[in-house]
Amino acid sequence: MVRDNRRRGRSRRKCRFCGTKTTYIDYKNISLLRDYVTEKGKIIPKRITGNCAKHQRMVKEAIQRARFMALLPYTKE
Amino acid sequence: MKRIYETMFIVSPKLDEEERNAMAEKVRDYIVERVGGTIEKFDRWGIRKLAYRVAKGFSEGDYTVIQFRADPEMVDILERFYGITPDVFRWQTFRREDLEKAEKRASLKAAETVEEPESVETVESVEAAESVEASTESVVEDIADEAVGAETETVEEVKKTEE
Repeated sequence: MVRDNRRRGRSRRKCRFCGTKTTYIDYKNISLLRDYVTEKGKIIPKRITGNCAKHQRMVKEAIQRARFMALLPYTKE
Repeated sequence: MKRIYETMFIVSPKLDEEERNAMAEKVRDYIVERVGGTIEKFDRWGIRKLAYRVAKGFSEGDYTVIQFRADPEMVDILERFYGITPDVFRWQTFRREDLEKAEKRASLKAAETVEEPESVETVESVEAAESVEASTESVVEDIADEAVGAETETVEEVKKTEE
């Protein structure tokens, strides 16, 4: 499992947003959101990113808003 | 109570630049006049590539972001305006609750700092009373406790009036 995470290079022990006490994730900040979608445009699950539930919800919300405004793709071939 | 909202809309690239600017200003004026809001931020992004092709066949669009403060019942009017304006082909409006909470916290903190000097005075009076007899000291302490209780009540009252 540990080896698996290292191979993917996304292993994080603590939620990145908890460290900065983030209360809102902006859907316009696309460079940030790109870290949380795969190359195909899918949202990366929190078991891989290490986000806590609260901040994963914020990420999800932001990505969905960005997708609707055509800032992020729904899918990419 | 007024709430903070953020709205973003994409104007059709078929219009030329002047018309697009006029469109953005029209929406801004509409928020002020008809929705009864106050503009806090007005941000023109200009033409930007879309991440995917929308149903109308556009692959780019003119983005504008507006942050404003308005009554919750009035925001529907803005949504209806978008709906009957064909040149705006995508829009999104939502509440920025995080900003409201930050504001509330800041105002509460300000209220606390205003009342702090009073509590310092009561502490000083207790210290002064220590030199006097022990029996009167306990009485003064009781008074100080009551004063603290009264302070928390005033804080609660401030909260209520704000809401």
